Amino acid sequence: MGGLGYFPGTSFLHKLNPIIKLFIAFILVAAVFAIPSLIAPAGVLVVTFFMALSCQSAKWTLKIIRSMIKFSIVIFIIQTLFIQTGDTLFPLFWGLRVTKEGVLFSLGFVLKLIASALPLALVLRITKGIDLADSLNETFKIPYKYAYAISSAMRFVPDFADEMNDIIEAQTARGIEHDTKGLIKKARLLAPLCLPLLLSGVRKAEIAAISAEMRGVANR
Amino acid sequence: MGGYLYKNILMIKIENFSFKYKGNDKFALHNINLDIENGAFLGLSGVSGSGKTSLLYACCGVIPHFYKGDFYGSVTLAGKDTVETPISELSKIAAIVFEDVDSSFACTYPEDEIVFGLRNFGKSKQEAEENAAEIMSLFEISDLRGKLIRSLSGGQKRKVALAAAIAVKPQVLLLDEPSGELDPEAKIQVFELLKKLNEDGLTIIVSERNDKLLHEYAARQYILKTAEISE
Repeated sequence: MGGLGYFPGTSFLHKLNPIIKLFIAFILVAAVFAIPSLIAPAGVLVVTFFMALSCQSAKWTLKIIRSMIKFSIVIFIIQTLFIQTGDTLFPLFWGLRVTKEGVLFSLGFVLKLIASALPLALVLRITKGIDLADSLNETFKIPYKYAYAISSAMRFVPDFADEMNDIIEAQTARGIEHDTKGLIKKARLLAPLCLPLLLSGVRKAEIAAISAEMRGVANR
Repeated sequence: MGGYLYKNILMIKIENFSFKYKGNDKFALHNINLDIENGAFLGLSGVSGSGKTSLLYACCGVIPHFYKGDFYGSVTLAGKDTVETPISELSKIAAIVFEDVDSSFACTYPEDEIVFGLRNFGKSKQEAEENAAEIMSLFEISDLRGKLIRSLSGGQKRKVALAAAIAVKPQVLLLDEPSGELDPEAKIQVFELLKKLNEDGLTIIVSERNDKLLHEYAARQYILKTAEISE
């Protein structure tokens, strides 16, 4: 599973102090939002890609960008429909229209979204949760309990993805066709999975929290 | 592993203990009286919902610290009242391995999982890593180093969870359904490990549906039936 879990490695970036990695990621994210030009997010995407390349994660980066693009298309459409000012590119139904201003703003918005998420995702990819928690605790004196909560939240991401896959496989075995390209049909199939996934997530988080407390997380 | 205090000293004392989970009318446990000596290997059996897990939780303070409800009677762990004593203190005495081991892991790698507990109990990073290496070799799981925990088999995960629990040298080890989902060979392996630890003096309480295993390994066995206990 090539999701958001930790990917072991011996690259320079892997070995870097987690706080420095976080700092670099925040600088990149800040650049995306501080520089009022599309060059900033595009530049950050390129820089992040090369950083990922240095730690054998180029393919993973492309995969993440691809899945974010799918998600961004929906945001792009909604955002474009909400901006009704500026020159009309083409009219739509019920008096709605696609404007040049809407398209440019939405494009910038999704580009910034992808460019700001990618450096942070890369940090999670090349940093062990436990190391991040230790560094946050030691450098910023964040109580270990909270630093641990942040790092363990990351640990659950691949677990949730696995659980989702298990549910989908179980449903496929019962004849439900999940292998569909239709976005609406897919959303309709996935919607009923949200509640069981949420409930199981709450149960897992509860066990994880009790287990951590029983293993002395509050003692640090 | 080193000794665990003296035998025949009372490790857990449960007196007239009853517990009702918050929002539940029925007693999860009712009028339980139990004395567990240091170094005991105690088995709890019973059908699902009979109160085995609740009793384990009560022994180490998970009830009432994490699961609220109506608590009657008293439970003491190494002489400390589990209601009065903070969980950070109780966790130095008792370790628990949950039935759902997957959710209970704090880290993604076995070695980190062991280091996690050790560092929480005051070991430096270097000390913790050295101890983790020792305990992994003791549990014969050194080959799992660097492997993702979620990629391990059920038996390997149990061993990692056990090693992580034992690493911090608790006086009492509680296990909830340790043989669940394991193949027969792995079940025996886990129980043989427990036997070894118990021979070293560790107090062990196991909740288990598999009566055969308890009969073979536990020195004392109790049966829970609809919230009540009998020997």
